[in-house]
Amino acid sequence: MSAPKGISLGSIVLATVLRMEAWWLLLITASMPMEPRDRYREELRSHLLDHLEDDQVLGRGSLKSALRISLRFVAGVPADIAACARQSRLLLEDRSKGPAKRFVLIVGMTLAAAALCAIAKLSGHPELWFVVVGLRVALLLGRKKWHSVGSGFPRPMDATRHRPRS
Amino acid sequence: MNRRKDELIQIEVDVLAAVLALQKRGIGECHGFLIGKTLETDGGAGSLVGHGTLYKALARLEERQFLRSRWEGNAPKDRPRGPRRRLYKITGSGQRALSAAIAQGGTVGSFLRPASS
Repeated sequence: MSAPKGISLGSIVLATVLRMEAWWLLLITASMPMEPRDRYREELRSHLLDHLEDDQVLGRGSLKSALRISLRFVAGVPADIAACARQSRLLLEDRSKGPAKRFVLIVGMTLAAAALCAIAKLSGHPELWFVVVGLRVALLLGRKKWHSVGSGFPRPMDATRHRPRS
Repeated sequence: MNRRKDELIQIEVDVLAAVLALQKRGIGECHGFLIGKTLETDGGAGSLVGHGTLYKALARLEERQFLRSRWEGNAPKDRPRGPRRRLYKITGSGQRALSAAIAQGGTVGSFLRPASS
């Protein structure tokens, strides 16, 4: 399928990469407290804009820009996942978690389960249902066994661990 | 796993060195993209840093007071609207930590190595 006249393949790829990055950013920052989340999102948006402007100044085409952005995106994904996992663990192990944290946790687990169900449905592998149930059970059983670790986020992102001083 | 207070991992050494190198070039405060670009161009091959990795390193360095940051004040002429940039500046303790890391065998890209003079 060819791109409509006036729209280059490069710009379509670039738009897709930017959208992918935006969705990823929303996803990985969803469980953060508001202040660091907004800062992180604004900084990354600004970074991407600078990236595009710089590429434009240097005469790089849309396709090359898309490739450069997606390379960095892929390079950063493992670190993002690791940070999210640490953050989730902090949420789970925090004994003083309030309704908001519980809500984020439940939404996260529901989203993960929904994604797995959708994959199971699309791929025609109903046995993935067992993975969903297994994950849920493992989460509940492992809850008390996890130990405290640093999140890698600045202090405000660790706000889930913060207890007011008496 | 806890680290010593002044201990830096490689990405943090690279980021501090990049900020210091930019400062020596007359850019007193620099934003994340410029730091990333400096790492890429001056840090040599294999210095591909993911966005998440870079900004988390910046946040950790700021938390440990090796960097100071602020939002860009007035909207720059090249970008009257849109997201603001966060500007970073290396602190005295950041410079000391970087020197200590280099003295302990930490490596930085050749152009990033702070001038010894």
